[in-house]
Amino acid sequence: MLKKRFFLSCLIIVMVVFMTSCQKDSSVSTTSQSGDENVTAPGELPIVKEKITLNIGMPDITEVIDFETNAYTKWLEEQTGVDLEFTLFPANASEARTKLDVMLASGTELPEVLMHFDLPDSVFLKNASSGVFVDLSDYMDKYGYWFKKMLDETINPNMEKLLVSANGKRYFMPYVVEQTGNFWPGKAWINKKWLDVLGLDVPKTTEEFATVLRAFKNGDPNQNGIADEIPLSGSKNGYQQIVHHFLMNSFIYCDQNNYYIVENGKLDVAFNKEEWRNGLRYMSGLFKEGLIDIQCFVQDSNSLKTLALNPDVNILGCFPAQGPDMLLSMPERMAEYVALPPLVGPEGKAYSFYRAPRADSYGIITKYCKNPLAAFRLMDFMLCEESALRARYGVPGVDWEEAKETDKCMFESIGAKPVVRSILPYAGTQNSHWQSMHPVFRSAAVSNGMVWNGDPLDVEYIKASALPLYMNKAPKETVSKLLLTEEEIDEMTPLETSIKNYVKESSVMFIVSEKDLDADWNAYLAVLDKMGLKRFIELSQSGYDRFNNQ
Amino acid sequence: MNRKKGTIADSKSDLVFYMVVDILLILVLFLIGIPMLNIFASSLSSGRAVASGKVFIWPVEWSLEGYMAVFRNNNILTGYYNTAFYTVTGTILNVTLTLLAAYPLSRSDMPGVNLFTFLFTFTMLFNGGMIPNYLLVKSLGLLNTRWAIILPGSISVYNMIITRTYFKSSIPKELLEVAQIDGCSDFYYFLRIALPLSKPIVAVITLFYAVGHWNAFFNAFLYLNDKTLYPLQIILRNILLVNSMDSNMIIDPELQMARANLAELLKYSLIIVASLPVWCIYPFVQKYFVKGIMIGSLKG
Amino acid sequence: MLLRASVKMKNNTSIIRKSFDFLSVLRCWQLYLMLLLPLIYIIIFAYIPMLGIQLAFRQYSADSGIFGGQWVGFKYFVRFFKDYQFARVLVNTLTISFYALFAGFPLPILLALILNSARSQILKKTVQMVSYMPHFISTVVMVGIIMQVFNTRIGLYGKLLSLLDLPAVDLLGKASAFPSLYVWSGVWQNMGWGSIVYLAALSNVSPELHEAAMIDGASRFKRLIHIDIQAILPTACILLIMNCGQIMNVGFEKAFLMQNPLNLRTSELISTYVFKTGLTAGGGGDFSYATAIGLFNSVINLILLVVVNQIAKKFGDTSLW
Repeated sequence: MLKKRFFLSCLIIVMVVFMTSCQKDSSVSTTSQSGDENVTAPGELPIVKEKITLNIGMPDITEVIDFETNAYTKWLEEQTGVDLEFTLFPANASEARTKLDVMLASGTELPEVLMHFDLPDSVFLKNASSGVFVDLSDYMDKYGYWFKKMLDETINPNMEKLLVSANGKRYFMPYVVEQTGNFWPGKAWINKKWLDVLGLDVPKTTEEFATVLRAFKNGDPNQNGIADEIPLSGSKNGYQQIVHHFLMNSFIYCDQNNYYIVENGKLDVAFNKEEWRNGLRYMSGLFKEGLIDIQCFVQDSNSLKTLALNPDVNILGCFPAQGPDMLLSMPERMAEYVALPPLVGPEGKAYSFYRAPRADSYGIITKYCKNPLAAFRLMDFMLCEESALRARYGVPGVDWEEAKETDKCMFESIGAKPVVRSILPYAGTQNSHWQSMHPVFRSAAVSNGMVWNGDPLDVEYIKASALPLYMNKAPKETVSKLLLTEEEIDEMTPLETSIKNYVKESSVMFIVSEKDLDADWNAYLAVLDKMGLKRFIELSQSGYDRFNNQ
Repeated sequence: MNRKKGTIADSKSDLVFYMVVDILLILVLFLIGIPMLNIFASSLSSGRAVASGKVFIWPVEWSLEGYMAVFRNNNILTGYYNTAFYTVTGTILNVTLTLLAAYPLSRSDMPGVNLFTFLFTFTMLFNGGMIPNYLLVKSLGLLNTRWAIILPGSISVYNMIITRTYFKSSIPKELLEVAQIDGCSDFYYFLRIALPLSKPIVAVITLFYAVGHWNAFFNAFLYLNDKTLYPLQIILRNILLVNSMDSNMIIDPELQMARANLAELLKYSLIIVASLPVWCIYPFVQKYFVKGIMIGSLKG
Repeated sequence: MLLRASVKMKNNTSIIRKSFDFLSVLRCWQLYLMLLLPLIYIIIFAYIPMLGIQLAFRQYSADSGIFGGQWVGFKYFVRFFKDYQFARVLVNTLTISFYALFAGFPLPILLALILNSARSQILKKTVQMVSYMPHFISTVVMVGIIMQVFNTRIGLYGKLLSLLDLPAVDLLGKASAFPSLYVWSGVWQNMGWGSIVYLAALSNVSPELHEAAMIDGASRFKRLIHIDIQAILPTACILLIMNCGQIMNVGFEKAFLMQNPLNLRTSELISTYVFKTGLTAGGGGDFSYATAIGLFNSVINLILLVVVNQIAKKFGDTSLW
């Protein structure tokens, strides 16, 4: 009977599935010597006397073809004598974090080492009592070899401070890249070709800028007989593509993270000051004249890119971005743009956003690690210079070469010397490295030492040569990191979220005149007070002081 | 009024009616078809053409780079295999459980039927969240196994209620009464009479469950670590790197930019790759929606 | 004790008296047996994890896990209600939900009816195949399409308006336009897929019914009203009731991607709010708070579901229970 056969086959399928899905035993090599005695002296290679296995948990990196056979893996294993195994998490950073959070909350065994997660202080503090994350302070002091070299070579005076959590412990080995271009990313780009057509110079002040934008709008610089030019645009959340973040720097320093301003050790916020209001007034004036494209508050980076790549004729006059990368597919058009230095405002201010050097928590040891000292020494080894080169560029001789005396340097504008010529393209599928998604120390010398191939249209070179226009234009005191206790973080988080979102929303509404800068300003300030702005500043001050006084 | 049997519409109002129907259908065809054509065309165009907004309903600068970028990943084939496996086994389990629940609940002569229905419906509303579900799967020893994909979420109460409604409204009460008089057991009635008459709804829920499995990634994302067990969607999501980033969280802007470019290139071809198999299956399911299933059931 | 209740069945004339006497329970043993497996399933996979909801009343900490935290009662609910954004996100969520319900509910039905009435098989099959394709577009791509189409400069919307010589009002940055954009794009995407259930119900209509009606002189339109619609009415009612029970479940991804500073007034939903305060804001996930908000949503859903179900029972024959 058909029905009987149907149910029978279901049963068989179910049984087969059951049997094939029984988990295979994972083989784990065991070491006869116990943990710490197996480890060699600091700075020595290999790092263990008898081979051990280390399980690393990290978000999957799409570009990497296969972790097991990856050249960087092989090199690490050879040098250190540690066999590496990988537990891969979802590639999307927030999904990987969610999964890790669920595993933490349910007490599931974690991989021995976690890399590339960049966990914030709050996670370390919340889990401090359970000891799930190992305090590395002792290891750093007694066994840190390349770690100590990093502390010597780093250009960041706050490096040691960045590694400590509010309870005094140090839970991670850092990812540090000291490329100068990353510190001054807030650039803007203006169409030189149009300026030439209109007989104008690159504007230096906000007034001149307004004049230029007007000329863009009315003077038909793309010479097609239609007034289709868009003088200034950006995107709502693209990296460094937010228009009012760039322009506000001509009125008051605009720290993109939390809008802090610091003077004589006293921390305050920028968004309730008269200067901020003046900045909004300037921008709202531009908007009323139709010089700022309303789309810049609405569109994402892709739409901005589509705008920039408008077929047949260029219609974009000026835009903020770290570089003109979005125009890469149209090199002739990309060449039309030059860097627009920070504009001098009516009070003579011309700041540039300073993105303080960071130490991201890319290397964490969990309590499930059977050989924590060996794991630490592995990560310590990852901080050496050879590792930095291999991690970023790949296999020496194949993917990169040492620079010759005669080579030109990408960052020659700031006096850097050439160190490495890259052959393997960055950010494509490869099996040579892990995209540096692990503890690494790429010093300023190495980061800025990329060889330039001499092509003036190389977008990295364009970015690098524009750098001096933006360097060292931040206030003397800026906020690097706030060191907050667990209670402070709990209190701060909802305040920070609501205040920040409200400021972002209101700033844009003021600019497009949905709120009036005279009639509605006090109401805006009142709401901020009601949201707990005072407490927010207090907590921030506490975190700032604690960080600096270490 | 006498009427000739045949295909000729007999009255003016009918002519108008059919014309309106056709017009509306063509309207729907355009409203939905044009954007879909755009997606197809974009997936076959070069990345540059797509980025500059040149593509309308025909590919511009024909290129397979979108598809190549997808298939460059080694794991795609395993992904297809795994998804096919989960879809087949999962759907069989789903449909079986759903029918086993839907039929009894459609019988209002069963004592407690309302209570049981409420018990099932309640689960649609309240959920313990990710952590309790994770703990459950963990304590059942299902973590990182194929069962973790197939078992959780096995019954969609939504689908079950639809099936129950079908049983209740589409199978005449008379059939049951006749069968009961003949001494037919519930099992027999269910298997031999109700089920064959319910081919349309079985086809529908099979389709719904199968598509659900095909598109599923959540269970895999949460419960699996072994790449060889990953279904297609996880692999595709890993490639697409869906992520609207907070500017502050960007650690490597260079890489971020390259990834954004790749994502732009991929996103259209990904839709096609992920959905094509299902589009092909639908016509086979569709034939069960043929009119006139009921013919002969009362006479037989 | 005997409990008697009457139940009227649709499409027939017999009335069955339901009684809780032992005999009728025994008579249905096979039905209970069938129900057993699914019941066990939902107890294990639905009710046991449901116990985790008590986390909403406990202060979660890493040490005590999700069952050991300190009991704090309604602390998290109060925190949510007192939040500056509470009223706004609640109103926005409900607005979008009800709007989507009213807009999105009739259209799949209409589409199914029209498809069913079509005479040309080619047209019918083509429209069917095409109409359910958008269902497979992921949220990210869907939002990308919306942003592309409604761009006043390069999108279809802008180009159309300029053709008609109308000023292109920017909709993407208009808070009042957000609900419509959100809802109608969802209707566009799911209309075809949603019509499948109704097509299945319609396929069950006996041609003899239509023939009898035709002999009686009914026009095709009349037949649609009296036969086709009657056939899908039970399904439609049930689906409406169930959709009401999902009223608070507006997903976060689509709204989050469509948000910008100018439409935040209407685009900040409970789900996006939870995401922003729970995840991007530094903490390791405040599970208690998230669970509390989830529980709040579920309770509202339950209340609405029960109310609508009661109404359905009163006015018709189809109801969930």
